Amino acid sequence: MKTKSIRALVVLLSFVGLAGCAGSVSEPEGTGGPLGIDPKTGLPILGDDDAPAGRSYKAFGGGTLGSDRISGAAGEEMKRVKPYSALVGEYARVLGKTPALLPTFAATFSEPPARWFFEPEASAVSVFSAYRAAFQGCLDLTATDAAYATAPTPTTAATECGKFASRFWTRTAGSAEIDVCVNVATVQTQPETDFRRKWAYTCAAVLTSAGFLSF
Amino acid sequence: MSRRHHISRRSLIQGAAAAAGLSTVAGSSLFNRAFAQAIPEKPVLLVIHLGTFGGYNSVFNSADSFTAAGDFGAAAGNITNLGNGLVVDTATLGSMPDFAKTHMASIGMRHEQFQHEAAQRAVWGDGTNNFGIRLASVMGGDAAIKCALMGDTTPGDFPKSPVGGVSLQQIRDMGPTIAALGGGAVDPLTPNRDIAAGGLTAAQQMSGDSITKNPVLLGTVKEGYATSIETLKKPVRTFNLAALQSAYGIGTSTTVNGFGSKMAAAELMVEAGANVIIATDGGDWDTHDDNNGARARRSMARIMPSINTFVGRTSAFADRNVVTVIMAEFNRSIPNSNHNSGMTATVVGKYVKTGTTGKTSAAANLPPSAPKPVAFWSYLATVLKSPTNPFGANPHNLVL
Amino acid sequence: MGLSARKLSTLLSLAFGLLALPVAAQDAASQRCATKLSITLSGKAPSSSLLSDPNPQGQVPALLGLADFQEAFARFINGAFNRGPGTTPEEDASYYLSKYILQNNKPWHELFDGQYKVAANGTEVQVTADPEGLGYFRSPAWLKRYAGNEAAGFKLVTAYRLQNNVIGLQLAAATQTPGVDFTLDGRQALGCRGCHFDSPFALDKVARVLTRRTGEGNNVTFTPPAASDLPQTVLGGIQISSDKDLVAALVSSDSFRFRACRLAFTFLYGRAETKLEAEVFDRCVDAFTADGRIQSAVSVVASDASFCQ
Repeated sequence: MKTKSIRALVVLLSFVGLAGCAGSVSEPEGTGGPLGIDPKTGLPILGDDDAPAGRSYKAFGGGTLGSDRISGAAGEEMKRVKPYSALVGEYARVLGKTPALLPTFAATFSEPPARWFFEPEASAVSVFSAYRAAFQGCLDLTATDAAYATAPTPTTAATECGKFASRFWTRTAGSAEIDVCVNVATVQTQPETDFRRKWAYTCAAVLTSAGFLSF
Repeated sequence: MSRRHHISRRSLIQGAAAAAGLSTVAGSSLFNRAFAQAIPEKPVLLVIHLGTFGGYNSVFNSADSFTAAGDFGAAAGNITNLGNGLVVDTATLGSMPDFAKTHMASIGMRHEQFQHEAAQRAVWGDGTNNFGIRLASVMGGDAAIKCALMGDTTPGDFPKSPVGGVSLQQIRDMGPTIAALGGGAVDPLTPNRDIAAGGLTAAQQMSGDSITKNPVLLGTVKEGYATSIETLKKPVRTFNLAALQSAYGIGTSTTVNGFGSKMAAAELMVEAGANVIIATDGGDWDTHDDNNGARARRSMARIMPSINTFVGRTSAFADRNVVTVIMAEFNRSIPNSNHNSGMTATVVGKYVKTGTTGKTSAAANLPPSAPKPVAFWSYLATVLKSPTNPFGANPHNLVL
Repeated sequence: MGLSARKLSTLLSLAFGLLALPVAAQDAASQRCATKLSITLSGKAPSSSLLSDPNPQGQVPALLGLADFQEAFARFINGAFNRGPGTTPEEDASYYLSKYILQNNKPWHELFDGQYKVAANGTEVQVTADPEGLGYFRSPAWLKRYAGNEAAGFKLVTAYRLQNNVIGLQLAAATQTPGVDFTLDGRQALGCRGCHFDSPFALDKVARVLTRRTGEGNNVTFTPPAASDLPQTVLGGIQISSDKDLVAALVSSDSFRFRACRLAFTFLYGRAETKLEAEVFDRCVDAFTADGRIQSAVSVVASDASFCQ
């Protein structure tokens, strides 16, 4: 809750700054502030009249272009699914090498035909395939480091989960995210007896999160 | 989100020998009846949509409409009377397995749309929901993947949003799909399915913020997590990939792109317990100026062997009630094989009574009184014996 | 110039297949930005130099000059301008010419009005100079693909595609009635004539100034428009006598510049711009208007701080 409130405030301040900046370039149509904070996103909700509308562009025969613009909220609809072409290098970037399984998933990750583009989409099979690729890569990643030679404890798991997140998501994990990851390491992996594989499972969960699979 | 606008089976231990055996017993009504009584039948619908932007020439399923004038190449010598008013093109629908020829109906519908996208929206949805996904959501069953798209090709304008908690899941490669269903080879690199389910649940939770902030752009990620986790929680299924590849003549390929591979993958998903399976053929179906029907016939000749394999094999599944539909967004018109205002679909299934409600005039038109597309979906729910029919009354009385 | 300690650290880490752990917040933000820029502009993971740049958005102009961007953007344009991939490579004329425009740093309007021809030459599709060219709009495969099937040979589909590609025109299909008449008379009926005759983009009027189609499939031929059909008044009062006149009017409009920046946003974000992004959009239009390069439009949006927020 605390994290959310802080984030909402920061975003709200950002919004105020953005609106002021926009106003220096073009006169915003509305004068009101945000309608409130979206309880789902913690982001300010902007009404049609609040958004800086920018200049108007004349359509043929009269009328104005851009009337189909949505209001949206700051930070909303900014992330997309990573295409297969990027995943090849992305796994290598965060793991040091590309999992050998990955090339067998080109079709599953929806590589478009020649000369064509479509927005990548995930599916149940692609998500599980991403997990398989991640698990393979994570087995290598955890194969030799002394940190993964013993069973995860809540303390060591919290540390390593933080490292996985920094490495894979290029950001610091929140405490709730660390808790979820620690639960994987210390509870979900109980059927597994091999310590390094426990860590690999933990690593794979982080690597199959949207923090890595989207950009 | 803001207030106003939002960027809104029985395992197939059915090797070649077993398949051959089933094919042999398929003709044994005693065998099938005994199994039908012992094993509850799970309904499964396969919809084959002809073309990203296409059409389904009614010369195939209303063939006698065109013999007098010879339109689309129809002639007395190339049509087959299947009974109860249903006359089909001999080389295509007339080439189907005996089961199909005794369980086939032509179902007509009018939507009054002549443009591909509008007609696609009309035959596939009510403006909001996809009829196929909606049907999948009420057919019951315990499969995680209830509605499956073979490959990534859909009709050009095709609603894909989840309905009733069921999302459309793309099946782009049979290999990874079998692995997700638990049927792949197990080696040290294979994650334990229970741990994987927990791991993906954790991944889903750790992705919550991203998914919440990007409901459209990451919508399929949200659906992918939920369905993959459900899939991992289901009992492991085994499949005979080699038998499928052999039956459909696709070599050793597992990628779902050509029509044969789409039919192979469709059978895989029948076995996997899907409710509704959708396969769009991206071939030459927008056959303008095809007055002699040659282009449409070439396209049908290309896909019929795979359809025949699918119908022949799945009609032998005693614990399945597989309904196979061939359709598009509209019929072709006369003259010049342009766009028509309605469509006659071909439906094959265990409880389909041979006949037609989709006989067109010599000008390829359905009568103005022909039911709307929603009634077609009601018919499908009826012959599937779906526990729920969300499409209203079924006016097409061709049900066994 | 010596390497900074942070860059050296990153390079050493990369050399050992490892990234510096944990990442400092500022570095993390710039690395996420580098990743977003690289995948968006090239479809690929970021290079080590981009990843180690504290200001990756400073590399946007350079990224826009790379072959990976040209390929990615040409694919995007082909996807945006057509309903599906061509059945032959030359049908994907918009892919080949947009790639050529980017590779040669040509103004974007030349995609639509440049003196080019896109055609198969053996097994390759080539862009060649053609004094009679009009972007890719007179290239043989494109002409055939979108010739349509109007009974009298009027190219209604071409009329729509031209306007769709240049300014993003979208026409919603009207609900039809049984027995609808598709002939010229039928198109003049209430409910049809809006799009066909009355709107600024009147398809039948535009089709009158285009060549007429005869035949079908590979046997299709085109004949000049009838002199009696010329000129036509469209686009809210502009007289046109040819496809060239039409395109000239379109590329001189606000609609063209608006379309260019909407394409830029859609390429970069996977969606159109929102009201919140109107100010960036306006700067995009300014940049595009100033030099006519689509790279400039993309650059403004990709370089704005909001892109990496």
